[in-house]
Amino acid sequence: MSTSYDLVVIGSGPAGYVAAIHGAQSGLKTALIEKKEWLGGTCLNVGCIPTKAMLHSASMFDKASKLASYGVKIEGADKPGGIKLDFPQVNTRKDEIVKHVNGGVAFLMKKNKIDVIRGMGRLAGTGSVEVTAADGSKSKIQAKNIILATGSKVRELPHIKIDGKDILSSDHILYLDKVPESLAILGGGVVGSEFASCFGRFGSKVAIFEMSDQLVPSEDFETAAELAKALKKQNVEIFTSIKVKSITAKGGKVEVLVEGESAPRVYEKALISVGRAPVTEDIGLETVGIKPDARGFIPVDLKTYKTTAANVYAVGDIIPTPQLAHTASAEAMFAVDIVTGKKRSPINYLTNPGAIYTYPEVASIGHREQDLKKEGREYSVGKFPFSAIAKARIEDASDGFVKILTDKKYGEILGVHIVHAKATELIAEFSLGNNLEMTIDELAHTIHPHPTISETILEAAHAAKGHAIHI
Amino acid sequence: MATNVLMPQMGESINEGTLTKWHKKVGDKVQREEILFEISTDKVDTEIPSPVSGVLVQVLANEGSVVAVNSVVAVVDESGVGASPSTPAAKPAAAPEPVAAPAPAPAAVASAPLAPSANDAVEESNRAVKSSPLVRKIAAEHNIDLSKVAGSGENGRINKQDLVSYIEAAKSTGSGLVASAAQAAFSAVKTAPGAAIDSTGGQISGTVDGVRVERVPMTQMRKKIAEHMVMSKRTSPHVTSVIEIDLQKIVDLRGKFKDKFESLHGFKLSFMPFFMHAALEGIKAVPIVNASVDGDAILYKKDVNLGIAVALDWGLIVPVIKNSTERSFVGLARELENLASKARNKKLAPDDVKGGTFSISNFGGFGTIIGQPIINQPQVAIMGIGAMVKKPVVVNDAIAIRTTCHVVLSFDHRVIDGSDSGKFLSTVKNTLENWALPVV
Repeated sequence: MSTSYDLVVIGSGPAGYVAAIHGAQSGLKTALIEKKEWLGGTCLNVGCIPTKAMLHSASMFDKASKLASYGVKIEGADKPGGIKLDFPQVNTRKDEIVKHVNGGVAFLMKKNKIDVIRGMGRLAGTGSVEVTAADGSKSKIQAKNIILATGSKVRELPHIKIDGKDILSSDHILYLDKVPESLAILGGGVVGSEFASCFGRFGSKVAIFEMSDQLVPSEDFETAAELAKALKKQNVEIFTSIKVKSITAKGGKVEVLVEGESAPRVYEKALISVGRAPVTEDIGLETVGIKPDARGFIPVDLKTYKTTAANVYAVGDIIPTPQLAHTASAEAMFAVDIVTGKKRSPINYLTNPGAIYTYPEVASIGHREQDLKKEGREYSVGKFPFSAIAKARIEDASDGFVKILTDKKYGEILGVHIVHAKATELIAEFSLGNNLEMTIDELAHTIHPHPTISETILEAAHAAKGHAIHI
Repeated sequence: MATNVLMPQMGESINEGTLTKWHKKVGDKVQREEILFEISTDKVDTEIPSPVSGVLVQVLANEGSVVAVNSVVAVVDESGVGASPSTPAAKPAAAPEPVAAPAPAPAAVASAPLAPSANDAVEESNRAVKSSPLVRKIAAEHNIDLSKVAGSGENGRINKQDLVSYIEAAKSTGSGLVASAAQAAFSAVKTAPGAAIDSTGGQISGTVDGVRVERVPMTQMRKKIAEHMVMSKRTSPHVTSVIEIDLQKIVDLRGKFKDKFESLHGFKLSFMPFFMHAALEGIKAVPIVNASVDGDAILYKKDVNLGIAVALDWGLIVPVIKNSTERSFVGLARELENLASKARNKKLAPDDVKGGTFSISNFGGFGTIIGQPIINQPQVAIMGIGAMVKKPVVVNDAIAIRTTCHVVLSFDHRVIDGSDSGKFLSTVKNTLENWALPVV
């Protein structure tokens, strides 16, 4: 193995491994450093992939009880206890999928002739990275360019101790051996809502405690209301504008003490999902003079992803941009393009889609209505419910809506909020359209196939222009 | 065959004009050189003749609408039968300057959706430039030719941010000739139009800060003058120096020859040609006053095109006497007379106001003795003439009554120093006090 590279990437998540592949494809001699035994980072191992695998099982379990209504009869299914959740199999399937995708990343490294170096990578002065292997041995490699992609970890609270047994983080809840009878979730953001939707449908009695005044605080207020409505049908209680004083494990149970209450509420397990913190400690930033901000993020120039240190770039969850896998990959490719001298137009984060995989899913892009209102902008709202669309009824997925916010003068698409079983797929139309700066007119004049779920977008576009057709 | 009649470019910083009057209606016959319509721009009000003989078959801009330079405003069919034109609206020809000042879309044009409008012409050409639907919509609204806008998107595609920046920049500077440094400096100024608009709540009369006011929108010309003046003050560090000149010799000379001059040449001899000639002598002695700043370089102009500020009832215009050094005294006088009368009769052609390299302003008409004129960018100096007054002066140690005046030079201290100015003014003084040129 060589010790000198054009590009060294630290971290193998969706930022790091994509940077490595794109770098190698662009002709750079590339090395990828990963401290864990598996490639793919949070997303692949303890994030996007395993959680969506579990959520899909939850959806199938949910559907199973409705099969008879479609005319699919399974012997014994109609008897009490006829349809059962095989939770170990849920985990097995999830683990198999993770393993498969994991192998896929390893293959891609080999295919692109990327040197994967196992160990903890740290910056060691200009143009140099030190790698500490599992056995403690140290080696140094030279790098013309370095991309930091060390990602994020579960954010912890000083007054609540995550023990991994009863009080869990998202890393732990993936490895339960049975579905808890009850589950308290601290934090009603993306992660909290997804696990609520998952375990609620598995049969847990779930309670979400959210400090701000709406579920999924980063989303449009109507989205939050629609999702809350749906989650309540999935054994989920939602408490907003609530402060939790303490969560403590006691005798195999978890006690949640809410501010202003004298007696604790008792649950079998608790999940702490209060966000993710950047991993920027102990990676040698000080050796090249990079100073993280107060929250630990690395400041970068968003036109190049350059840090304050020469030839050191930072992308993904360690910079103060949306902490999403697809965002990280986009930033990673951008940084590599800068390394190889390509001219790129800066990423417009207003065209960056957000996705939540609850039932129904939530997907959004651009501004929220409450923000536009606050800014005093002149906007129009086009909203259309899936319940008026035939294909949604056929697929038994009538919950939710498409909401399009447009600028009154030019019809610019300012924000899109979709709540639907397939919302995360539907939003891609706006990722493209908004990136190309379409206006509501182009959207309304685009022919959508019939019968489909996507027709709802067309209807919402007409609604934004003043006249929906099918309602 | 159909010929498109374009909105002419009337001066270097002019990007649009108001079509004020049609002299012909659709279906009318028109001769070549016959007046077709009238326009008013910020610099010039003028009549536009038809480029060909034929029948006016299409009118693409209504009276009162603001039209971008080089867009099609009429179609004349030369076959004379009034057949429909082959090209409904041509693309605007590439203009050397950016199309700046956003103008409200001509409402009258927009309300006739079936006829192709001047706006359509811009829109049509905009489709050939890489841009987004949103950008084209905003550009159409502001009547902007996108070929002038730099794109920062994929493969040079113009995105919303590019256009917004362009509009902002265009708002802040009227002239495409101004060095980029000046533009950058100027674009930093944000006037607060909102506050002004709200001051009377959109009413013509009202009370602002306890004072009763009447609200009158600026004319195009006034807006341009305002922009140009502020821009000049921000661009050039102005210094003004003053010299007093004994004009007795000139006064006597003119008194003696003015009747003969008029009978010989057919127009009155004013004092201005004397000052113009003196200024030309000054420029010869101090060439830096006939220059401009181009980034880190100085452009010394080999031609001297004298701009003479002419006050009009409706504003101010600076017609330009081209190649002034190549003209005789009478030639200078005649061209001045010619341009001034054109200006007053709204007959100035675009060329008449273009390309000035040095300007003269005569502010003495109402008795003002000293003024500090603002440099006409991108020039670097302007000479001002104060009122002529009789004064006791010392001549050969005796007190005598003489006609005198103050002549000033406002100069751009970036490139001109006080000594240059002193030398220029003393040359002007010498030329006038020791006049040696025949006047008839």
